[in-house]
Amino acid sequence: MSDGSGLLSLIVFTPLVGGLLLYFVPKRDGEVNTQFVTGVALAASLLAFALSLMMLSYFDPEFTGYQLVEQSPWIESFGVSYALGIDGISILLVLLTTFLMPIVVLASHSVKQKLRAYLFHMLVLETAMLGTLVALDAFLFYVFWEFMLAPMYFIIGIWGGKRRIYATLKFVLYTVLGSLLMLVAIFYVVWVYSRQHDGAVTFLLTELIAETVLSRSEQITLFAAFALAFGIKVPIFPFHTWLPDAHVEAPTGGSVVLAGVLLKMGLYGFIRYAFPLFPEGAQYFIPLLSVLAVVGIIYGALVAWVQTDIKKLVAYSSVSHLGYCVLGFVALNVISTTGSIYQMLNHGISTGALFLLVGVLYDRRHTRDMDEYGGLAGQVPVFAFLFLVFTLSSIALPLTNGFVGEFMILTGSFQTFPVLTSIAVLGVVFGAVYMLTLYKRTMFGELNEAKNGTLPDVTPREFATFAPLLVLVFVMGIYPKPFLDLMEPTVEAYVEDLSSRFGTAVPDDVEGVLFASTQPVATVSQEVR
Amino acid sequence: MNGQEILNDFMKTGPFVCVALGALVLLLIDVFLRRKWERALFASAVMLTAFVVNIQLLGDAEPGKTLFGGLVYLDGLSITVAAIILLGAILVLHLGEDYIEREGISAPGEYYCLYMLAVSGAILFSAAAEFITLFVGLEIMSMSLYCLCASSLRSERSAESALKYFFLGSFSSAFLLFGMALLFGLTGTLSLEGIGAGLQSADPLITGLALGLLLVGFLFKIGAVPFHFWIPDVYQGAPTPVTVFMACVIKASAIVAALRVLWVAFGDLQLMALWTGAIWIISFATMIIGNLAALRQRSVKRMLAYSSVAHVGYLLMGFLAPGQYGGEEAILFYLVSYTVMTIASFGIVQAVIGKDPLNDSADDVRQFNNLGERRPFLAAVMSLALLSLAGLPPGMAGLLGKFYLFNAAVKADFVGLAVVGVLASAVSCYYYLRVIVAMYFVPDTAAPEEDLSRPSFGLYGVISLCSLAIVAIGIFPGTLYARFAGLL
Repeated sequence: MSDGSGLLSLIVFTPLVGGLLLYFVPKRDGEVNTQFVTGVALAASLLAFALSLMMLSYFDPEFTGYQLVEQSPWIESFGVSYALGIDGISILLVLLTTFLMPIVVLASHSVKQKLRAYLFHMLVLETAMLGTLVALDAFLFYVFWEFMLAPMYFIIGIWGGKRRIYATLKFVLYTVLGSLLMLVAIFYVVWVYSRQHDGAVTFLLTELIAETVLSRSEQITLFAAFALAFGIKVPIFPFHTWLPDAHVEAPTGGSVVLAGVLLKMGLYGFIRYAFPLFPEGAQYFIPLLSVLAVVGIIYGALVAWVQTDIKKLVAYSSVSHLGYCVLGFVALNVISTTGSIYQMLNHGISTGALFLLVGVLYDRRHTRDMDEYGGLAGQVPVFAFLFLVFTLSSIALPLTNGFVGEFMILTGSFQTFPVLTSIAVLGVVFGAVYMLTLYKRTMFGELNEAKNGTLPDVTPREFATFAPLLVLVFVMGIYPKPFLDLMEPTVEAYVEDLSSRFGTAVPDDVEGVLFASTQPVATVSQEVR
Repeated sequence: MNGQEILNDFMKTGPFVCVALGALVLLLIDVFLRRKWERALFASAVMLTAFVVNIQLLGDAEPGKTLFGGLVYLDGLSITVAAIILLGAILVLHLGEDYIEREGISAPGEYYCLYMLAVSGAILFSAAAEFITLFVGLEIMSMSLYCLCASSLRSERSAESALKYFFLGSFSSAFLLFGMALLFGLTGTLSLEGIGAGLQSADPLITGLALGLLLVGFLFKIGAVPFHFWIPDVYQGAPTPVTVFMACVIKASAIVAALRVLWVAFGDLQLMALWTGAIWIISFATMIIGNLAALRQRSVKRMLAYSSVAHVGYLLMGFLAPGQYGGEEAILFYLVSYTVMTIASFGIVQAVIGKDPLNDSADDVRQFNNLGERRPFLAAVMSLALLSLAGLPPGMAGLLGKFYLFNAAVKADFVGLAVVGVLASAVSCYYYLRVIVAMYFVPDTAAPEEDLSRPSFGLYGVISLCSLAIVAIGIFPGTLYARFAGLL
């Protein structure tokens, strides 16, 4: 352990073990002891967080390859291995996941029935998410990726709202459809690799990226298969329709995890798999992706604007925010990509917090209809304060974390897509409009309903769930350097490596010969224009 | 061949002989057995002995080795399949122990006798090296099955299913026989290898006709589209333990028998071209139609029946990837994981149907409402089995099974078929998940307080074992898979 070997496995499987332990907690009076159960779950998630902080001490930001690598054969005859590792990109997402999970566990007090099963599914989900983030083997990644589905399916289905069955089935079917095509694409890459290496097989990502030569047309098809899987998960417009349903129906904790971590998996998949595996395919799709990202930004913002259901509003704002992340990433320069990853963290924190706040309101009044609330600021001042901070973080006010991310994304993308970025900036304005409208209508003015006159303010336990998020909003907004330092060298190397591989593979068809050299990233913006 | 050699060969067909003799002995001693569990125990002990004998034979097995001068194979494949058949049969036997009583099966001795005969037939069917043995094995198996299907005397559906199965089964046997006769006419031999050699110079038209007739027979037995119509009715009508038995054990045997015939007798490259296209289309259609039909079922038994049709479609993909493409290993692995998933899922269905198996809506999906509250363990196992059938983690066995099969298909350059396969299995998620919806997401309004009888100890044991296997096979697939390599 002194060199940190095995640490990643420990982090990944600690929540799962904790989840299984829940079923060994002694009962009290024949009932599940909710406090004890919550305590165990909290301990497991905190342990995972502590371990991931420990991982930080073993991590060398200057080294741009994978670190803390573990590798042992899993399905030997097919070259599938149990390979884990982190780099500057995944480490932050791992930290985000382990950071959010104790908060979600703490916020589980609003779950009134089957608390043990709820926490079990949450912890299993954490294992699946962490596994997805650190897997370095394409098949292992796929397994963890699919493993995220079942627990979320149960979380929405059992603890969700009225239309939960529709929402959860839609969520699973959408995701499965995309990811199964990705599986075939993975097989295809592996067999091309095998043909080029005298029958040797491997599913190791680094190996596949470095050693597989794919023609341009193959890359385009394969990238499309991957992009479908990841695009549905992000979600990129027009694959976003499952998201509002899932968010609205999910219980509070489910929404937090969904917005906080699950959505990031899609973009992470693009970063880690789709782009490096198929650079020319990516190159082909970058114009489309960037346009869809901007459409998502504007569309998400406009739809959010007209919502009266607070949760739906926040859900659509996610579509918009994720659009920024996608735009920043596909612009593929160091600033925008760093900003994109940074914004993923911010979105996890601010949107996660907003969902928690909506949950607090919902627990008290059992409605999410904006019109039911009004003038709450005087009644619940602490709540109003928290709501204000996270609203401002969401609309990227300077000094909050959102500003840093969005600024970097817009600055960076402007170099690549000036026109598109100019349109995307409109989204920032819309964002301010709908979030501030929400705030004004619910918090300011006169108390509109007598029922709201007895609304209790946030309890200490609820405040405890918000406090870490609150601190991070300002820390990440005022002093982002430690976070950026963690990823910057990796991102630099990543962008450089990817750009160098654009259009360099030997084209095998006429079309490839004609266009391979005429479509470097820098000229993409001219096309769009 | 002298007497000593024949005796030796008899010893080496140990598993078959053991089970067949056990069946006959059970008939003799049946009158002395008072308690019902004694018969089950006897049958189980016989099959366990056969299993041990079977494993002992592993040392004698060589690829292509035959017994009795070319009647039965003794190779790795025959031993592996016999092992799968016997283990599956033992599990299914204990699953159905107490159910047999409740379904009103009046002569349990005969039930177990027929059960063992069917197992012995299945072993012979999958190991046959020439057509007469193959046919004898098939008929021992099928005849016993017809009777088993009818064994629930109080149920009209059971009788209906037996009759349906009998008529259609005889019909398909006739096709098979006709095909065999044509091949015999063409080549003058009945052995698979002899036919493979003889067909090199045979008339392609008649070869194609014979192949077509054989395929009809085999595809009927394994329940592939368009010969799948009997499956839902028979699976639904037959007593549930018999249904499980057909769905996994018999299917495994028939798949391997078909595999042998296609790969040995028609394994030549030119001959392969004759059936590759046909199997491609049938696999395609089976995956699509099986899954789409399953979507619309309200009866869980029928749904699982159609899903078993769909799984045959996946398995047929493996037929297209012989030799180094790894189709054989993939098929065997899938058969193992399919067996445990099927036993687990049907086991729960049986427990839920429990008290009132004769009622038409006994296996309606509504009966599963709120099972998560009423029987948390059963619901959890059912979820695991269904997720595995859908190929989603944590149902690792199904996921790895699909991994190997799709992988083999892509490797053999059938990418299109693999894509259809994954799309079809995405569809399948819907109907598998619907049962989970019923079990967990639908608050119970209708179901009375305690409408489930207590499932037997045997059932609990079997489903626990199966759910362990579902997870374990998937997490450590390597050892199992390595055993399946290079058997044929």
